[in-house]
Amino acid sequence: MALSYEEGKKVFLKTILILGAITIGEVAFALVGKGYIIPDVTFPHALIAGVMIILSAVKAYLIIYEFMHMKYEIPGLVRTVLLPGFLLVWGVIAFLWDGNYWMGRRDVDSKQVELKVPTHAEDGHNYDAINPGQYGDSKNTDVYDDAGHEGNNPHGGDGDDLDHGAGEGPSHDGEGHDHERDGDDDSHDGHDH
Amino acid sequence: MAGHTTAHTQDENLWNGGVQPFKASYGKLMMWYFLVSDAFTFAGFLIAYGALRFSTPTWPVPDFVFSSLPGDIHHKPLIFVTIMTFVLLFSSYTMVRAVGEGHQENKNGIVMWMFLTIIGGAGFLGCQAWEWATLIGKEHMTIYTNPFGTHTESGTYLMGDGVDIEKGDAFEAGDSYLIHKHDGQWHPLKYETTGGEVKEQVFGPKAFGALFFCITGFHGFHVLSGVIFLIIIMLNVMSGLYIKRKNGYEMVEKIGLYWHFVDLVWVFVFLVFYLL
Repeated sequence: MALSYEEGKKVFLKTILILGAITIGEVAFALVGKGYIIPDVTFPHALIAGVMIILSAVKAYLIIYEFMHMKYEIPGLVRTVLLPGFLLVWGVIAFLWDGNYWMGRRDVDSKQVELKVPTHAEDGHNYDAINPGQYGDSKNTDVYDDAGHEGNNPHGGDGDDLDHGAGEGPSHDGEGHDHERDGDDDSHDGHDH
Repeated sequence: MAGHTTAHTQDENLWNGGVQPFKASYGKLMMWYFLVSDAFTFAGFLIAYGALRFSTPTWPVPDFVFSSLPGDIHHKPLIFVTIMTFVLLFSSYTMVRAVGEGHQENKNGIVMWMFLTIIGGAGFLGCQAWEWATLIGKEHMTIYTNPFGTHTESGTYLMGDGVDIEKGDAFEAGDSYLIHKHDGQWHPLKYETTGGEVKEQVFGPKAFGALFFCITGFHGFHVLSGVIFLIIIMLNVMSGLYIKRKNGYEMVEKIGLYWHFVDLVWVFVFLVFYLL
């Protein structure tokens, strides 16, 4: 049931005062936690972050449920609006996690790790995709039997007579596999721009 | 229908058309779903911010970057942005009072409270404009240049910058700095680390500038469009356009939803950019 006019005025005033108090509390906690109020006293960053997020969630609840009147809406409407919202929160957390993973990868990649793809497999064939030749080499394989049926080889059995291997592809030998990032390492500290 | 239970019959009646299943008008429901889509857009921006920020080793410390106030006041971290938050919260309160007056069909009350909301929104825009002007004009931050950096090791400065750093000042890892620009030239300071190497201040992560201006700009654009719509609807209310609709001034309620959404986004932008 919706609120009456008088009840509404009281509820809204109470809500805005709580919102104001939470904001002051958030800022004060952040300033104290970072050492601005009491010198040399800081809180661990995880604590500050946790408190901030919880207080902001409370503010969001108050704005959505009271100011936007969600508390008094039909549950179906509430769910169709809030469920995507919660999925978004999950999305944000997932990407923060991913971003952190990227930082770890940056350290690995910045050491110019070169990934070597073995071009000669244990069975002696050259499965190099860049210069395949027939199957990369002239060694006749027992992968297809003498009757000429193509067995389980990578290029045979394609069902057409097209030349799939030879003469194909740009020649960028030796360039294809290193993980150098071009131009986009702006966020490395310590490099001059 | 004789064999069906009452609940089943009610459901059939609810979704067969001619009835509002969520007891909300088309306009109000569509405003809610527009806000959901807008939340996705902002979430996209915040995801980009979060992913990029967490992937860089250092990031400008907000209480260092945002510590000035109008009137040449400095070193008061987060105060100005708290004032902006209060202005927007106040405008949300006045908006909800306007909606309440709308349910009472009290035209003068609506106009008064909407006018206060517009003042709040315009005040917020003015504050944001001052913030941008300071960052762009005085600190020379752009979407591709970020002069706010953070030290990753401790050391001593070998030169001063004429503002607040003097030759011989010491700093620690995690301390922030601002590279100053005079006469069109950047003046990064040289320093000596405790390990004895001489280095120069480097620019901070480029993404900071782009993200800050794009996200606060996109939010500010929403505030601006909200203020424009509020003015239009307030003028419509004054002209008596909504009287004959007899829906409790639902248009005021719809723009109220939009305005509260703008406030809600600010709560998260404030959290993410300034508090964390």
